[in-house]
Amino acid sequence: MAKLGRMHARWVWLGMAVLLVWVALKPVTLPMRISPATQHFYDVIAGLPKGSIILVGASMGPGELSSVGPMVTAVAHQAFSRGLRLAVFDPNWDQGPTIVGNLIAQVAAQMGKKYGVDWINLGFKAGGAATLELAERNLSQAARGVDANGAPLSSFPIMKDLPALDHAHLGAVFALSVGSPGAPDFWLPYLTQRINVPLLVGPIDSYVPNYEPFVASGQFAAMLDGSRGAAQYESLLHYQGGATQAADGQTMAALYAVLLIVLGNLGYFAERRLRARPGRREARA
Amino acid sequence: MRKEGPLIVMVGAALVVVIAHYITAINRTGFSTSFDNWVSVTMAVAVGLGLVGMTQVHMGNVVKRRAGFGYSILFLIVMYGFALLGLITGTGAPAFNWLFQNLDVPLGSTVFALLAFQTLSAIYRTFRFRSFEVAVFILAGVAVLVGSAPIGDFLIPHWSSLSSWLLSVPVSSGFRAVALGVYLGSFGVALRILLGLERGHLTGAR
Repeated sequence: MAKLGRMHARWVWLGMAVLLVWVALKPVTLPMRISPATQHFYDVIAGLPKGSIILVGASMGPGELSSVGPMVTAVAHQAFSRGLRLAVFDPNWDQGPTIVGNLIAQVAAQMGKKYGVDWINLGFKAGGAATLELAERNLSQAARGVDANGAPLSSFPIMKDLPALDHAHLGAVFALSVGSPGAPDFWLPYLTQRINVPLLVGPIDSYVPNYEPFVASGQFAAMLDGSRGAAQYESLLHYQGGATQAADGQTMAALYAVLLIVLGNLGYFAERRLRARPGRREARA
Repeated sequence: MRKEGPLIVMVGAALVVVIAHYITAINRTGFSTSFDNWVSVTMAVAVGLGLVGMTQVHMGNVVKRRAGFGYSILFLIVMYGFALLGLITGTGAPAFNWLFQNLDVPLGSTVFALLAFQTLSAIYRTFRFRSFEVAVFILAGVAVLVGSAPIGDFLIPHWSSLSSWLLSVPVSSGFRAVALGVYLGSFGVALRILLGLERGHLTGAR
Protein backbone atom coordinates (compact mmCIF):
# COMPACT_ATOMS: atom_id res chain seq x y z
CA MET A 1 0.00 0.00 0.00
CA ALA A 2 2.85 2.41 0.87
CA LYS A 3 4.12 2.07 -2.71
CA LEU A 4 1.00 3.89 -3.96
CA GLY A 5 2.49 7.13 -2.70
CA ARG A 6 5.83 6.61 -4.46
CA MET A 7 4.75 5.97 -8.02
CA HIS A 8 7.25 7.30 -10.57
CA ALA A 9 6.15 10.35 -12.57
CA ARG A 10 6.39 8.37 -15.84
CA TRP A 11 3.45 6.15 -14.76
CA VAL A 12 1.44 9.23 -13.84
CA TRP A 13 2.10 10.69 -17.30
CA LEU A 14 1.39 7.39 -19.05
CA GLY A 15 -1.98 7.12 -17.33
CA MET A 16 -2.85 10.66 -18.41
CA ALA A 17 -1.76 10.02 -22.00
CA VAL A 18 -3.83 6.80 -22.22
CA LEU A 19 -6.92 8.55 -20.86
CA LEU A 20 -6.57 11.51 -23.24
CA VAL A 21 -6.08 9.27 -26.29
CA TRP A 22 -9.03 7.15 -25.22
CA VAL A 23 -11.35 10.12 -24.79
CA ALA A 24 -10.18 11.60 -28.11
CA LEU A 25 -11.09 8.37 -29.88
CA LYS A 26 -14.35 7.87 -27.98
CA PRO A 27 -15.82 11.26 -27.01
CA VAL A 28 -18.39 11.19 -24.21
CA THR A 29 -19.63 14.84 -24.50
CA LEU A 30 -21.38 15.35 -21.16
CA PRO A 31 -24.17 17.93 -21.01
CA MET A 32 -23.09 21.40 -19.84
CA ARG A 33 -24.86 23.97 -17.69
CA ILE A 34 -24.47 27.46 -19.11
CA SER A 35 -23.06 29.75 -16.44
CA PRO A 36 -24.44 33.30 -16.05
CA ALA A 37 -20.98 34.63 -17.06
CA THR A 38 -21.04 32.80 -20.41
CA GLN A 39 -24.65 33.79 -21.03
CA HIS A 40 -23.76 37.42 -20.36
CA PHE A 41 -20.79 37.22 -22.77
CA TYR A 42 -23.14 35.90 -25.45
CA ASP A 43 -25.73 38.57 -24.67
CA VAL A 44 -23.24 41.46 -24.94
CA ILE A 45 -22.30 40.42 -28.48
CA ALA A 46 -25.92 39.68 -29.35
CA GLY A 47 -26.85 43.19 -28.20
CA LEU A 48 -24.47 44.98 -30.58
CA PRO A 49 -26.14 46.75 -33.54
CA LYS A 50 -25.79 45.05 -36.94
CA GLY A 51 -22.67 46.19 -38.77
CA SER A 52 -20.77 47.03 -35.56
CA ILE A 53 -17.06 46.32 -35.58
CA ILE A 54 -15.45 44.21 -32.85
CA LEU A 55 -11.73 44.68 -32.41
CA VAL A 56 -10.06 41.33 -31.67
CA GLY A 57 -7.00 41.89 -29.51
CA ALA A 58 -4.83 38.95 -30.51
CA SER A 59 -2.69 38.88 -27.35
CA MET A 60 -1.57 35.27 -27.60
CA GLY A 61 1.20 32.97 -28.82
CA PRO A 62 1.16 29.54 -30.45
CA GLY A 63 1.23 27.83 -27.06
CA GLU A 64 -2.20 29.08 -26.14
CA LEU A 65 -3.92 28.11 -29.38
CA SER A 66 -5.70 25.13 -27.84
CA SER A 67 -6.92 27.24 -24.89
CA VAL A 68 -8.13 30.42 -26.54
CA GLY A 69 -8.35 29.40 -30.21
CA PRO A 70 -11.87 27.94 -29.79
CA MET A 71 -12.99 31.23 -28.21
CA VAL A 72 -11.89 33.17 -31.32
CA THR A 73 -13.67 30.71 -33.61
CA ALA A 74 -16.84 30.89 -31.52
CA VAL A 75 -16.82 34.71 -31.36
CA ALA A 76 -16.34 34.81 -35.15
CA HIS A 77 -19.30 32.44 -35.56
CA GLN A 78 -21.59 34.59 -33.44
CA ALA A 79 -20.35 37.87 -34.89
CA PHE A 80 -20.65 36.84 -38.54
CA SER A 81 -24.05 35.20 -38.01
CA ARG A 82 -25.33 38.50 -36.54
CA GLY A 83 -23.90 40.68 -39.30
CA LEU A 84 -21.09 42.08 -37.12
CA ARG A 85 -17.60 42.74 -38.45
CA LEU A 86 -14.17 41.90 -36.99
CA ALA A 87 -10.78 43.63 -37.02
CA VAL A 88 -7.72 41.78 -35.72
CA PHE A 89 -4.87 43.81 -34.27
CA ASP A 90 -2.14 43.61 -31.66
CA PRO A 91 0.82 45.89 -30.91
CA ASN A 92 2.49 43.51 -28.43
CA TRP A 93 2.17 39.88 -29.45
CA ASP A 94 3.89 39.36 -32.79
CA GLN A 95 2.48 35.92 -33.56
CA GLY A 96 -1.04 36.47 -32.25
CA PRO A 97 -2.60 38.28 -35.22
CA THR A 98 -1.39 35.62 -37.69
CA ILE A 99 -2.87 32.79 -35.60
CA VAL A 100 -6.13 34.61 -34.88
CA GLY A 101 -6.37 35.77 -38.50
CA ASN A 102 -6.09 32.19 -39.74
CA LEU A 103 -8.82 31.05 -37.33
CA ILE A 104 -11.18 33.82 -38.44
CA ALA A 105 -10.38 33.19 -42.11
CA GLN A 106 -11.61 29.59 -41.70
CA VAL A 107 -14.91 30.71 -40.17
CA ALA A 108 -15.29 33.50 -42.75
CA ALA A 109 -14.79 30.98 -45.58
CA GLN A 110 -17.44 28.66 -44.08
CA MET A 111 -19.93 31.52 -43.66
CA GLY A 112 -19.25 33.25 -46.96
CA LYS A 113 -17.75 36.42 -45.42
CA LYS A 114 -15.32 38.54 -47.39
CA TYR A 115 -11.89 39.73 -46.29
CA GLY A 116 -11.68 43.50 -46.24
CA VAL A 117 -15.46 43.83 -46.11
CA ASP A 118 -16.60 41.73 -43.15
CA TRP A 119 -13.27 41.36 -41.41
CA ILE A 120 -9.66 42.47 -41.63
CA ASN A 121 -6.34 41.47 -40.12
CA LEU A 122 -4.29 44.58 -39.30
CA GLY A 123 -1.51 42.34 -38.02
CA PHE A 124 1.17 42.98 -35.43
CA LYS A 125 2.44 46.54 -35.37
CA ALA A 126 5.16 47.09 -32.77
CA GLY A 127 4.94 49.84 -30.20
CA GLY A 128 2.68 48.60 -27.43
CA ALA A 129 0.75 51.32 -25.62
CA ALA A 130 2.08 54.10 -27.87
CA THR A 131 0.80 52.35 -31.01
CA LEU A 132 -2.58 51.76 -29.39
CA GLU A 133 -2.83 55.41 -28.35
CA LEU A 134 -2.01 56.40 -31.90
CA ALA A 135 -4.66 53.96 -33.19
CA GLU A 136 -7.19 55.74 -31.00
CA ARG A 137 -6.59 58.86 -33.12
CA ASN A 138 -5.57 57.37 -36.48
CA LEU A 139 -5.75 53.63 -37.02
CA SER A 140 -4.25 53.67 -40.49
CA GLN A 141 -1.18 55.53 -39.24
CA ALA A 142 -0.80 53.15 -36.29
CA ALA A 143 -1.03 50.18 -38.66
CA ARG A 144 1.61 51.82 -40.97
CA GLY A 145 -1.04 52.00 -43.69
CA VAL A 146 -1.02 48.27 -44.48
CA ASP A 147 -2.78 45.12 -43.30
CA ALA A 148 -1.07 41.94 -42.03
CA ASN A 149 -0.15 40.92 -45.57
CA GLY A 150 1.20 44.31 -46.59
CA ALA A 151 -1.83 45.35 -48.66
CA PRO A 152 -2.77 49.06 -48.47
CA LEU A 153 -5.58 49.68 -45.99
CA SER A 154 -7.22 52.19 -48.33
CA SER A 155 -8.20 49.29 -50.61
CA PHE A 156 -10.48 47.71 -47.96
CA PRO A 157 -14.07 48.99 -47.56
CA ILE A 158 -14.19 48.06 -43.86
CA MET A 159 -11.50 50.65 -43.11
CA LYS A 160 -13.83 53.48 -44.19
CA ASP A 161 -15.92 52.64 -41.13
CA LEU A 162 -12.90 52.23 -38.87
CA PRO A 163 -10.65 55.28 -39.20
CA ALA A 164 -9.82 55.15 -35.48
CA LEU A 165 -10.25 52.87 -32.50
CA ASP A 166 -12.71 55.12 -30.70
CA HIS A 167 -16.19 55.07 -29.22
CA ALA A 168 -17.83 56.21 -32.44
CA HIS A 169 -16.43 53.40 -34.58
CA LEU A 170 -15.97 50.38 -32.29
CA GLY A 171 -18.81 48.25 -30.96
CA ALA A 172 -16.68 46.25 -28.54
CA VAL A 173 -13.20 44.90 -27.96
CA PHE A 174 -12.66 41.17 -27.56
CA ALA A 175 -9.23 40.74 -26.01
CA LEU A 176 -7.50 37.43 -25.60
CA SER A 177 -5.43 37.37 -22.45
CA VAL A 178 -2.79 34.74 -21.85
CA GLY A 179 -0.11 36.72 -20.05
CA SER A 180 1.27 40.21 -19.80
CA PRO A 181 0.49 42.51 -21.59
CA GLY A 182 -3.09 41.30 -21.59
CA ALA A 183 -6.59 42.51 -20.87
CA PRO A 184 -6.16 44.12 -17.41
CA ASP A 185 -2.78 45.78 -17.95
CA PHE A 186 -3.09 46.73 -21.60
CA TRP A 187 -6.45 46.67 -23.34
CA LEU A 188 -8.35 48.03 -20.34
CA PRO A 189 -6.16 51.01 -19.34
CA TYR A 190 -4.93 51.96 -22.81
CA LEU A 191 -8.12 51.53 -24.83
CA THR A 192 -11.51 50.46 -23.50
CA GLN A 193 -11.43 52.55 -20.32
CA ARG A 194 -10.40 55.63 -22.29
CA ILE A 195 -12.91 55.29 -25.11
CA ASN A 196 -15.72 53.73 -23.05
CA VAL A 197 -16.27 50.60 -25.13
CA PRO A 198 -17.22 47.19 -23.66
CA LEU A 199 -14.24 44.91 -23.09
CA LEU A 200 -14.91 41.20 -23.59
CA VAL A 201 -12.14 38.95 -22.36
CA GLY A 202 -11.04 35.45 -23.34
CA PRO A 203 -8.40 34.27 -20.85
CA ILE A 204 -6.60 30.99 -20.35
CA ASP A 205 -7.95 28.95 -17.43
CA SER A 206 -5.25 29.89 -14.94
CA TYR A 207 -6.00 33.62 -15.26
CA VAL A 208 -9.72 33.34 -14.55
CA PRO A 209 -9.38 33.83 -10.75
CA ASN A 210 -7.04 36.80 -11.28
CA TYR A 211 -9.54 38.48 -13.56
CA GLU A 212 -12.67 37.96 -11.44
CA PRO A 213 -12.24 41.35 -9.66
CA PHE A 214 -12.33 43.14 -13.03
CA VAL A 215 -15.61 41.41 -13.91
CA ALA A 216 -17.08 42.20 -10.49
CA SER A 217 -16.12 45.87 -10.83
CA GLY A 218 -17.64 46.08 -14.32
CA GLN A 219 -14.31 46.98 -15.94
CA PHE A 220 -14.59 43.80 -18.02
CA ALA A 221 -18.03 43.82 -19.61
CA ALA A 222 -17.95 40.02 -19.82
CA MET A 223 -15.48 37.15 -19.62
CA LEU A 224 -15.41 33.53 -20.72
CA ASP A 225 -14.25 31.31 -17.83
CA GLY A 226 -11.33 29.74 -19.70
CA SER A 227 -11.91 26.53 -21.62
CA ARG A 228 -15.01 25.77 -19.53
CA GLY A 229 -16.56 29.06 -20.62
CA ALA A 230 -15.54 28.45 -24.22
CA ALA A 231 -17.23 25.03 -24.22
CA GLN A 232 -20.41 26.55 -22.76
CA TYR A 233 -20.27 29.35 -25.35
CA GLU A 234 -20.04 26.77 -28.16
CA SER A 235 -23.00 24.99 -26.63
CA LEU A 236 -24.96 28.28 -26.69
CA LEU A 237 -24.08 28.71 -30.35
CA HIS A 238 -25.23 25.12 -31.04
CA TYR A 239 -22.03 23.79 -32.51
CA GLN A 240 -19.26 21.49 -31.32
CA GLY A 241 -15.86 23.11 -31.70
CA GLY A 242 -12.45 22.69 -30.14
CA ALA A 243 -13.58 23.65 -26.64
CA THR A 244 -16.34 21.03 -26.57
CA GLN A 245 -13.85 18.37 -27.61
CA ALA A 246 -11.37 19.64 -25.01
CA ALA A 247 -14.06 19.46 -22.30
CA ASP A 248 -13.89 15.66 -22.46
CA GLY A 249 -10.15 15.79 -21.86
CA GLN A 250 -10.74 18.24 -19.01
CA THR A 251 -13.23 15.84 -17.42
CA MET A 252 -10.78 12.95 -17.67
CA ALA A 253 -7.90 15.04 -16.31
CA ALA A 254 -10.02 16.21 -13.36
CA LEU A 255 -11.12 12.68 -12.49
CA TYR A 256 -7.59 11.37 -12.90
CA ALA A 257 -6.23 14.14 -10.65
CA VAL A 258 -8.74 13.18 -7.94
CA LEU A 259 -7.74 9.51 -8.31
CA LEU A 260 -4.06 10.46 -7.97
CA ILE A 261 -4.78 12.52 -4.84
CA VAL A 262 -6.60 9.53 -3.31
CA LEU A 263 -3.81 7.09 -4.27
CA GLY A 264 -1.10 9.45 -3.05
CA ASN A 265 -2.81 9.89 0.31
CA LEU A 266 -3.48 6.16 0.72
CA GLY A 267 0.23 5.61 0.22
CA TYR A 268 1.13 8.51 2.52
CA PHE A 269 -0.99 7.25 5.42
CA ALA A 270 0.12 3.64 4.90
CA GLU A 271 3.74 4.77 5.09
CA ARG A 272 3.07 6.83 8.22
CA ARG A 273 1.43 3.84 9.87
CA LEU A 274 4.36 1.65 8.88
CA ARG A 275 6.83 4.12 10.40
CA ALA A 276 4.80 4.36 13.61
CA ARG A 277 4.91 0.58 14.22
CA PRO A 278 6.97 -0.20 17.36
CA GLY A 279 8.68 -3.23 15.78
CA ARG A 280 9.93 -1.11 12.87
CA ARG A 281 11.22 1.62 15.19
CA GLU A 282 13.13 -0.97 17.24
CA ALA A 283 14.52 -2.66 14.15
CA ARG A 284 15.79 0.73 12.95
CA ALA A 285 17.34 1.47 16.32
CA MET B 1 25.42 65.32 -18.86
CA ARG B 2 25.49 61.58 -19.52
CA LYS B 3 22.88 61.19 -16.81
CA GLU B 4 21.03 64.47 -17.14
CA GLY B 5 20.59 64.34 -20.96
CA PRO B 6 18.51 61.16 -21.12
CA LEU B 7 16.66 62.25 -17.99
CA ILE B 8 15.60 65.58 -19.54
CA VAL B 9 14.49 63.85 -22.76
CA MET B 10 12.55 61.21 -20.83
CA VAL B 11 10.80 63.54 -18.38
CA GLY B 12 10.04 66.06 -21.14
CA ALA B 13 8.51 63.41 -23.43
CA ALA B 14 6.55 61.84 -20.58
CA LEU B 15 5.14 65.19 -19.47
CA VAL B 16 4.02 66.09 -23.00
CA VAL B 17 2.20 62.75 -23.38
CA VAL B 18 0.59 62.99 -19.92
CA ILE B 19 -0.47 66.65 -20.30
CA ALA B 20 -1.70 66.06 -23.88
CA HIS B 21 -4.01 63.41 -22.46
CA TYR B 22 -5.79 66.04 -20.36
CA ILE B 23 -5.45 69.25 -22.40
CA THR B 24 -6.90 69.08 -25.92
CA ALA B 25 -4.96 72.15 -27.16
CA ILE B 26 -1.64 70.41 -26.52
CA ASN B 27 -2.98 67.21 -28.03
CA ARG B 28 -3.70 69.12 -31.26
CA THR B 29 -0.08 70.22 -31.62
CA GLY B 30 0.76 66.65 -32.70
CA PHE B 31 3.69 66.30 -30.29
CA SER B 32 2.06 63.40 -28.51
CA THR B 33 1.40 61.59 -31.81
CA SER B 34 5.02 62.13 -32.86
CA PHE B 35 6.28 60.65 -29.60
CA ASP B 36 3.96 57.66 -30.06
CA ASN B 37 5.42 57.19 -33.54
CA TRP B 38 8.95 57.39 -32.15
CA VAL B 39 8.14 54.66 -29.63
CA SER B 40 6.92 52.42 -32.48
CA VAL B 41 10.16 53.00 -34.38
CA THR B 42 12.26 52.41 -31.25
CA MET B 43 10.43 49.15 -30.57
CA ALA B 44 11.12 48.00 -34.14
CA VAL B 45 14.80 48.82 -33.68
CA ALA B 46 14.74 46.86 -30.40
CA VAL B 47 13.66 43.76 -32.35
CA GLY B 48 16.71 44.20 -34.57
CA LEU B 49 18.92 44.59 -31.50
CA GLY B 50 17.46 41.35 -30.15
CA LEU B 51 18.48 39.63 -33.39
CA VAL B 52 22.04 40.93 -33.00
CA GLY B 53 22.19 39.91 -29.34
CA MET B 54 20.93 36.39 -29.99
CA THR B 55 23.38 36.01 -32.88
CA GLN B 56 26.30 37.08 -30.66
CA VAL B 57 25.37 34.64 -27.90
CA HIS B 58 24.83 31.65 -30.19
CA MET B 59 27.77 32.40 -32.50
CA GLY B 60 29.89 32.50 -29.33
CA ASN B 61 28.60 29.03 -28.41
CA VAL B 62 29.48 27.70 -31.86
CA VAL B 63 32.94 29.31 -32.13
CA LYS B 64 33.98 28.18 -28.64
CA ARG B 65 32.41 24.72 -29.10
CA ARG B 66 30.49 25.03 -25.85
CA ALA B 67 28.35 22.10 -24.69
CA GLY B 68 25.25 21.82 -26.85
CA PHE B 69 26.61 24.13 -29.57
CA GLY B 70 24.72 22.03 -32.14
CA TYR B 71 21.49 23.50 -30.82
CA SER B 72 22.93 26.96 -31.37
CA ILE B 73 23.66 26.10 -35.02
CA LEU B 74 20.11 24.84 -35.42
CA PHE B 75 18.76 27.95 -33.74
CA LEU B 76 20.71 30.29 -36.06
CA ILE B 77 19.62 28.37 -39.17
CA VAL B 78 15.97 28.47 -38.13
CA MET B 79 16.05 32.12 -36.99
CA TYR B 80 17.75 33.49 -40.10
CA GLY B 81 15.97 31.05 -42.42
CA PHE B 82 12.57 32.13 -41.14
CA ALA B 83 13.52 35.82 -41.17
CA LEU B 84 14.88 35.62 -44.75
CA LEU B 85 11.83 33.75 -45.97
CA GLY B 86 9.59 36.42 -44.44
CA LEU B 87 11.66 39.22 -45.95
CA ILE B 88 11.76 37.67 -49.42
CA THR B 89 8.24 36.29 -49.75
CA GLY B 90 6.38 38.48 -47.23
CA THR B 91 4.70 37.28 -44.06
CA GLY B 92 1.44 36.63 -45.86
CA ALA B 93 2.99 34.25 -48.42
CA PRO B 94 1.70 30.64 -48.42
CA ALA B 95 5.18 29.16 -47.73
CA PHE B 96 5.77 31.41 -44.71
CA ASN B 97 2.27 30.82 -43.41
CA TRP B 98 2.58 27.05 -43.93
CA LEU B 99 5.79 26.90 -41.90
CA PHE B 100 4.27 29.06 -39.19
CA GLN B 101 1.06 27.03 -38.97
CA ASN B 102 2.69 23.62 -39.20
CA LEU B 103 5.88 24.14 -37.19
CA ASP B 104 5.63 27.09 -34.87
CA VAL B 105 2.02 26.67 -33.76
CA PRO B 106 2.07 22.88 -33.04
CA LEU B 107 5.46 23.10 -31.30
CA GLY B 108 4.25 25.96 -29.11
CA SER B 109 1.02 24.11 -28.29
CA THR B 110 2.95 20.94 -27.46
CA VAL B 111 5.19 22.71 -24.97
CA PHE B 112 2.14 24.33 -23.35
CA ALA B 113 0.30 20.99 -23.21
CA LEU B 114 3.22 19.40 -21.35
CA LEU B 115 2.31 21.66 -18.44
CA ALA B 116 -0.75 19.50 -17.82
CA PHE B 117 1.46 16.44 -17.29
CA GLN B 118 3.81 18.31 -14.97
CA THR B 119 0.88 19.73 -13.01
CA LEU B 120 -0.67 16.29 -12.53
CA SER B 121 2.63 14.91 -11.34
CA ALA B 122 2.96 17.82 -8.87
CA ILE B 123 -0.61 17.28 -7.63
CA TYR B 124 0.13 13.60 -7.00
CA ARG B 125 3.33 14.31 -5.08
CA THR B 126 2.24 17.32 -3.00
CA PHE B 127 -1.49 17.05 -2.26
CA ARG B 128 -1.11 15.09 1.01
CA PHE B 129 -3.39 15.64 4.02
CA ARG B 130 -0.55 16.63 6.35
CA SER B 131 -2.44 19.32 8.28
CA PHE B 132 -5.81 21.04 8.51
CA GLU B 133 -4.63 23.98 6.37
CA VAL B 134 -3.37 21.66 3.63
CA ALA B 135 -6.65 19.74 3.75
CA VAL B 136 -8.62 22.98 3.15
CA PHE B 137 -6.28 23.82 0.27
CA ILE B 138 -6.70 20.37 -1.32
CA LEU B 139 -10.49 20.32 -0.93
CA ALA B 140 -10.80 23.81 -2.45
CA GLY B 141 -8.49 22.74 -5.29
CA VAL B 142 -10.55 19.61 -6.00
CA ALA B 143 -13.79 21.63 -5.86
CA VAL B 144 -12.50 24.06 -8.49
CA LEU B 145 -10.82 21.37 -10.61
CA VAL B 146 -13.85 19.12 -10.87
CA GLY B 147 -16.28 22.04 -10.96
CA SER B 148 -14.43 23.49 -13.96
CA ALA B 149 -15.05 20.31 -15.99
CA PRO B 150 -18.50 19.25 -17.23
CA ILE B 151 -18.26 16.16 -15.00
CA GLY B 152 -18.75 18.39 -11.90
CA ASP B 153 -22.37 19.26 -12.64
CA PHE B 154 -22.95 15.74 -13.96
CA LEU B 155 -21.94 14.22 -10.60
CA ILE B 156 -23.50 16.83 -8.30
CA PRO B 157 -25.91 19.46 -9.69
CA HIS B 158 -24.58 23.01 -9.27
CA TRP B 159 -21.05 21.89 -8.43
CA SER B 160 -19.88 24.46 -10.97
CA SER B 161 -21.72 27.16 -8.98
CA LEU B 162 -19.64 26.25 -5.93
CA SER B 163 -16.51 26.38 -8.08
CA SER B 164 -17.52 29.78 -9.49
CA TRP B 165 -18.27 31.10 -5.99
CA LEU B 166 -14.86 29.99 -4.75
CA LEU B 167 -13.22 31.81 -7.66
CA SER B 168 -15.30 34.95 -7.58
CA VAL B 169 -15.50 35.53 -3.81
CA PRO B 170 -12.61 34.19 -1.67
CA VAL B 171 -10.01 33.98 -4.47
CA SER B 172 -11.08 37.24 -6.05
CA SER B 173 -10.95 39.19 -2.76
CA GLY B 174 -7.48 37.84 -2.01
CA PHE B 175 -6.27 38.70 -5.48
CA ARG B 176 -7.81 42.16 -5.32
CA ALA B 177 -5.75 42.91 -2.22
CA VAL B 178 -2.56 41.74 -3.95
CA ALA B 179 -3.42 43.65 -7.13
CA LEU B 180 -4.06 46.89 -5.23
CA GLY B 181 -0.65 46.62 -3.62
CA VAL B 182 1.01 45.94 -6.98
CA TYR B 183 -0.76 48.84 -8.69
CA LEU B 184 0.04 51.31 -5.91
CA GLY B 185 3.68 50.18 -6.07
CA SER B 186 3.74 50.52 -9.87
CA PHE B 187 2.22 54.00 -9.64
CA GLY B 188 4.85 54.98 -7.10
CA VAL B 189 7.67 53.74 -9.34
CA ALA B 190 6.17 55.49 -12.41
CA LEU B 191 5.92 58.74 -10.46
CA ARG B 192 9.51 58.43 -9.24
CA ILE B 193 10.70 57.84 -12.85
CA LEU B 194 8.66 60.81 -14.09
CA LEU B 195 10.10 63.07 -11.41
CA GLY B 196 13.62 61.88 -12.14
CA LEU B 197 14.07 60.34 -8.69
CA GLU B 198 14.50 56.81 -10.07
CA ARG B 199 17.59 56.69 -12.31
CA GLY B 200 18.71 53.08 -12.12
CA HIS B 201 17.29 52.27 -15.57
CA LEU B 202 19.35 55.08 -17.14
CA THR B 203 22.75 54.24 -15.73
CA GLY B 204 22.49 50.56 -14.97
CA ALA B 205 23.27 51.45 -11.34
CA ARG B 206 21.35 49.71 -8.56
